Amino acid sequence: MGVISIKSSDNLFWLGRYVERVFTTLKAFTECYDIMIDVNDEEYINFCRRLGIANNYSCRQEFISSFLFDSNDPASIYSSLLHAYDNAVEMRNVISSETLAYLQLAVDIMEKSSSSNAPLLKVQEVTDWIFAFWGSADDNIEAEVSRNILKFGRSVERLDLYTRLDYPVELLRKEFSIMLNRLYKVGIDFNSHSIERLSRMILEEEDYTPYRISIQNELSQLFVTGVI
Amino acid sequence: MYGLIEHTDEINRLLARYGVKFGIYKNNVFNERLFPFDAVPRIISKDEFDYLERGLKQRVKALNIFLKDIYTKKQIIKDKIIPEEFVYGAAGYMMECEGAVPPKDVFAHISGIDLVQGNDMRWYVLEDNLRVPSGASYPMIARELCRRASPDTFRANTVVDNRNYGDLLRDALDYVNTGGINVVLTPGRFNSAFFEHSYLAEKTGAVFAMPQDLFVEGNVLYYNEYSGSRKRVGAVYRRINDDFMDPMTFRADSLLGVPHIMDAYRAGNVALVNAPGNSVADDKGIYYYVPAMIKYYLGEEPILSNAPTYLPFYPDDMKYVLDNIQKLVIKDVAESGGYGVVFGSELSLEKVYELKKLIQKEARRFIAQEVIQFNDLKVVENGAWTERKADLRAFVLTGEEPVVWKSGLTRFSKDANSFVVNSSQGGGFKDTWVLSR
Repeated sequence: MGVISIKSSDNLFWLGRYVERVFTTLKAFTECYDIMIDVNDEEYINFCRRLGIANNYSCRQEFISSFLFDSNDPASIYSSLLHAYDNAVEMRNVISSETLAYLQLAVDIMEKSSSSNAPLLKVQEVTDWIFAFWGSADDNIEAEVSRNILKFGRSVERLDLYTRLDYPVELLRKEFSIMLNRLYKVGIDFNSHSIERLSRMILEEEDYTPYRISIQNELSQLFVTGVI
Repeated sequence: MYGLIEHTDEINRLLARYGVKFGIYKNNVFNERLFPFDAVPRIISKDEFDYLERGLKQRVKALNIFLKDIYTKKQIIKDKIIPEEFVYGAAGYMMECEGAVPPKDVFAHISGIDLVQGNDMRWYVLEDNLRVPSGASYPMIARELCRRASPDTFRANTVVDNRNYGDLLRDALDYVNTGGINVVLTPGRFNSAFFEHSYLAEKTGAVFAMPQDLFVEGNVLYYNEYSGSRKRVGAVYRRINDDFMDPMTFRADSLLGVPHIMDAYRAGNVALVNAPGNSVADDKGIYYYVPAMIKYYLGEEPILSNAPTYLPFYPDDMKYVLDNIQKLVIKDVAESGGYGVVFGSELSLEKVYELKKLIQKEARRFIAQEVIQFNDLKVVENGAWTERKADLRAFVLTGEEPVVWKSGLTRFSKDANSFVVNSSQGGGFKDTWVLSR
């Protein structure tokens, strides 16, 4: 079934973005957590700065519990996961009950992990369920256009986060190529000027880091058409 | 069967995994709850189901004819079978639907008929739900998991497969489709039955739509695609109440509706499933007249019985109700979902007095029924066998002919002494097995 509405395409796009946000920030959080064990107690301050989120945490411990599990913290991994779930639950008929179930399992694990004395061990399962989610999405989403929108959202989020987290340029270029491919397949009107500028900054410049903010801005402008 | 029951907790965990939930508003806060599943099935023998099937088909046929009659010729009123005040005074009667006849004359495409079995083993119809009856998805998904949990149980018992509900629903939609796609229309994420809306869209292969995805142009309903193109819609399985469905016809303040969808419907360009205005037929006051309706329209004796019911509207019934109120159950016709149901035996003398006054003042607002002594069903609670009151919602899908789904939603009460089985009141559900021989 390939018929989807504007609202549904929006749900799919943001579903892809939020699932990826959970996945990549969880990975980055784990690295930060490790550094905080015996290298730098306040590494979380750098972490917040890199991600571009407000450091509203009074100490390492508060950061750990809040950034992982606090649904009232809009930057938390749990909040992102709930946003992913909210988008997914409206898309059950497109992504299938099987695919939705993996996000439900991730939400359940996140809720159980908050009371664990070794939360990082438990939340590993969130990563596992996200892998299963993508596998199931590949298998069960029948309409190519729906799969492409979902994965397009994932690529946009990856590019955004990779620039924030200083990922190697090779990874950025690879993801940008994937994103372009999906963008053309999706067939939505897009801002071609943004794509040109992104191409220049990511593919032609040796070091993208001076353009980090510009790349993030251009990504947010992808669908603002009519811009010169 | 014991091989199945020992997996109850795992089945419930899997139901949670698949997001089998219902929403409930309490103090204006929306919460989603799991619907507890008890693996001990309700078992209906082939002969018993054959009898129910005949009765249900007969009842739904009569209700369909009644709906067409009420919104067109009104012969049943002219012939004084039903007093007109019971039709026009019913909250569910919609003047806006006068003269509107749906494609292929089907009004009640999906009927949810609530029955109970008395301890005399007789079945009684408690309610007809002809608006947007919900609940079929729960036993359907539970069956899928039960079969995985205990294949031997299903090898040893000749249980009719109930996982065809999506196919039956699709057939019903296709039958009335006026040319275009089928759509399941949900009011949104925070509707109490949202899980079911999305699940049935998946199982029927229909497009799952929110109101903003649809628009009407030239009395034709379209689905707005993300690419800017549009698809014509031929049938809408709408899970939105009449009042909110079209702000141009019903409530002007509705943000959930599709403007002018009623114009497309009146023009015969789209089927609305179920048809608007159906609620007049599932009014608790009209329920009293269904047996008379069957005789009048079909010339047949009703196969299924109503629960013994009294209408205080009639002087004799009023006297009986006032004299016997403490052994009756009183229902407010305007309420649903287990609300507005009062057991006379549970009231203080002061409350009895107040209720009598109210019934005398607003006779049309209430019906009274004898309390049926339920044939309680076994459930397993915390590892121990016990019993609960339970009802059965049978689903009848009407296309060219009514088809009774060979299963149903069996709901049981939360507490041992409670008669209220609604999920919103904390009860659980069972699978309903219909045996093939």
